[in-house]
Amino acid sequence: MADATRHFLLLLLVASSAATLPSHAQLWDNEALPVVLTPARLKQSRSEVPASVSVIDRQMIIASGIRRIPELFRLIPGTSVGARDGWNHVVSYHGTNYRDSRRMQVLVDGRSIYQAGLATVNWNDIPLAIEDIERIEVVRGPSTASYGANAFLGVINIITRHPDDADKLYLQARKGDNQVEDYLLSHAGSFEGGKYRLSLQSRRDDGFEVNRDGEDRRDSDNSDTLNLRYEKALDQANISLAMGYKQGWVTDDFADIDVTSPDTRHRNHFVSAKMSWDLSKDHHQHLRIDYSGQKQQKEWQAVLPPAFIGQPTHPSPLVRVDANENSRQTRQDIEFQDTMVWSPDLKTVAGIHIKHNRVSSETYYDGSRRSDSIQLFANAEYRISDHVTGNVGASWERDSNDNKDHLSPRVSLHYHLNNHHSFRAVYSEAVRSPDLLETTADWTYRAKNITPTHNGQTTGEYVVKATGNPDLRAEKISSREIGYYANFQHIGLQWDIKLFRDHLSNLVSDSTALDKFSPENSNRLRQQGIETELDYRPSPNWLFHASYAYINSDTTTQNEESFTPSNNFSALLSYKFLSNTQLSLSRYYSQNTRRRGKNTFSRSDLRLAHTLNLRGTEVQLAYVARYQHDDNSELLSDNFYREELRQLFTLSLRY
Amino acid sequence: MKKLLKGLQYALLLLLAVAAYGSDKPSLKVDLVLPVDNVSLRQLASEIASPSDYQLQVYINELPDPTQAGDVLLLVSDGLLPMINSAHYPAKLALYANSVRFSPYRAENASAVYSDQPIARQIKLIDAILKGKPARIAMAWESPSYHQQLHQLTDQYPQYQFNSEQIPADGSASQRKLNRLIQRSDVLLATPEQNLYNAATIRGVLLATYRHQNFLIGPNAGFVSAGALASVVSKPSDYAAEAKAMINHYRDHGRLPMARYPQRYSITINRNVADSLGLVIDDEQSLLNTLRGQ
Repeated sequence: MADATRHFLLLLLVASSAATLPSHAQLWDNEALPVVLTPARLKQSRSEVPASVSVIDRQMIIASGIRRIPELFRLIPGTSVGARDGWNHVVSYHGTNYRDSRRMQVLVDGRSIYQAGLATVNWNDIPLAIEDIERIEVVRGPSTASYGANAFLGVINIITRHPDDADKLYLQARKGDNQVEDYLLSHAGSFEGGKYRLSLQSRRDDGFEVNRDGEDRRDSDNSDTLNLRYEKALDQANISLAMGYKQGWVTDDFADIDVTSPDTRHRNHFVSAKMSWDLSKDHHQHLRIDYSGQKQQKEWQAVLPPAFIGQPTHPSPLVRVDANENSRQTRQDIEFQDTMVWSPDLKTVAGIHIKHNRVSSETYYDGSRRSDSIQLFANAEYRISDHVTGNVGASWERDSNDNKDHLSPRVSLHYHLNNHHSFRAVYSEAVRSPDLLETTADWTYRAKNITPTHNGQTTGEYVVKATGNPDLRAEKISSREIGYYANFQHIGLQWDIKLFRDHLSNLVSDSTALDKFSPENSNRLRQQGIETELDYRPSPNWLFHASYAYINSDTTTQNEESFTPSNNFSALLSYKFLSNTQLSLSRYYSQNTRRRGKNTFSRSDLRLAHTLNLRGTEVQLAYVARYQHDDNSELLSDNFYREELRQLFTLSLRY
Repeated sequence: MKKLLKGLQYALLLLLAVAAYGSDKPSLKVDLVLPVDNVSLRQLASEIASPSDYQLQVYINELPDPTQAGDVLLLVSDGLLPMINSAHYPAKLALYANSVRFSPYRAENASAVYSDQPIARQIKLIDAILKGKPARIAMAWESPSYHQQLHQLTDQYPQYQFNSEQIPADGSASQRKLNRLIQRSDVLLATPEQNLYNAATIRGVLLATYRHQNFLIGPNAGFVSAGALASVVSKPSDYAAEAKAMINHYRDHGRLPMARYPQRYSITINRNVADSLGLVIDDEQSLLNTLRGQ
């Protein structure tokens, strides 16, 4: 009987599928289509996000005409952007200390690019072309509860273009003042049932031109990158693979004692794999594994008195030595995340993140160091009533570097006046665990090949030494904000305003320089102010985006406001006309706090682009002009351009 | 098991026949052919049969023996359209047939209630959602008939830029073209073309619209559950009512009305998608009133 039934059911199945054209399957039968945008996959609406979030989308990136990724963040309210050298950018929300970007989390497609070994975000090392970015979301405020350590002041979340969206073939060449010469070749296609995008990029420029004395600067950048992303959709799951490679070198100015160029060669790579799956339409999970490695090779020769390398009895007044700042770093991450929609009113996101860092460097560590950390996080969003929504989240973290438990909570409450207007109140805490350099540095220059030699001794050690402080504790921030977000969708206007008061304590503020390296948790900083952002797109042809921030700081050390803007403004206006021409203007203005002499950054950019369509191939010619309004140095005192006006020409071909 | 199923089927036919015989007038005989036997189609059959003064016979995926043929042949769905040519009836009506697929079967005694909604109606829905805010509305199509429908509306909606593009359905190349279209538009209107929009392609399309803060409109309720923002839809009960009205018209006037789009329709919205995109949309009834010009 059982056999007969099975046989019958099988027959029925065959018969019905044979007789059924595709349309029958859909005959009032919604089950035939997969639910693609399941409740568990849908993102929170901006009016309910438990933080202030800014978005830079592709349209804005294109309109801005910006060539280097970090410069885009001038569009974000309250964010400081500066270049220590032409190739060495620092980006920090609310500024604070410019010495390194160690208080921001930066993610590219979910992979953190923070380099724990040297405690920095090296923007020049990301194997990614700005043209391959789809959008950037910036969380303005401490977000350790969802993003882990380093999400101390905020999070920059870069999302690259999906292979499905990329052009089959894209070629671009750019040339401009300051020896700018860039090439990009990008190709997208199908492979093994999935889609890939492959980009090859070559980027050159000469950095800043002169120092404060009008002498030529050496800070050029030469980078070649490869970036690959692969996406494959399975029935209930998705596989994403990514890899990248970068090689290049940057030049550096000679210090007084240097006799050969102290230039640096970089070689970096990363591999990422992410798998996500739906257990049901209300339950989504992902697992990701990331690996990255950076190799920095900086070897040069210097001439100095032998006493400096511990040979006071050496007969020569000066000796010539080999020095290096070589380093190798690797980082591995594993993350598992679970998203569950319990009811239309309750959604949770929870997970675990494990991280392993390793660094080896003769100069910085006289060997190698490693650190491990584990983070557990959970966040819940709950609709309390039609008008009120709440978010509660926390993260527990333990880092082998300080061996302490850290709990970072975040709570927020939203009051929705109606569907267009919402008020929010957010309280969050975050920590930044001290990094390897701060706790375990054993930093000095080990001189080799000393010539001439004395008593046959060919090696020596620089007498100035920096040692890490193993007792350092984590830096802390507690942040309070109230905000208001309005979305006048039918005229295309979004407006956000935020008032904030942040307390930062246990700050490790001294600059990481060999001669003044004494990491202590000795400082605190209070920041309060107001920020606002407006986005107006009344029609597809118009785009207007503006931001303004006022920040007031009170600190125990000047370092902690050295990078803080007291007034910070940006505006981007773009208009498309004649169906194939686009004109954009942007204005950036930032004024430092009084302690830095109210130094300003003030620049206007113009971009004009014209597109021709030649039998399915789009050819675009774009012109960018940047005009500097003041004659200030950028960030540090030796960063000058000769001319106020710098120009770029870009030719691109899209097939 | 086999016997039980067959028994149920006969019982259903008997029930429908009895229901039809209930009225005393000697009545019209309507032969209803369903493509497959499933719960929703059985429900449709019983709604068409319920209080009426015609007699309804139900067949599954086959025509009755010519000697048993009644006065009106009622076919459900595109797959059965070839039966229009093979059967001899004074009147033939295709219910839930795609407008483009039906057009070769157009004849004096053949009519249809289309499965698709007119492009104009979906554009009205988009207009009601956008409330006239200038936008770029994209539509990919294989059959020029949809493009013509859209083209006729251009003057009526000067605030919208219509990006209408023929995209032959050939796998990944067509998806790349469609994604390009999505990236230079704000709204994508899906045509009821299964070569372009089906269970295999919908995932890529919906994820692309979502990535670009774009949204999909149409073509039917199934796509809205999958993740499209909204659509004009006609429910099975609407089609049952349309069929009854057409048959009654035939009974009273001796001919079927012209083939047409369903006159009964409503709006369905995916609230989750709207909320996530930060779109504030009126409720279904208000949108429907706007569409109907009330």
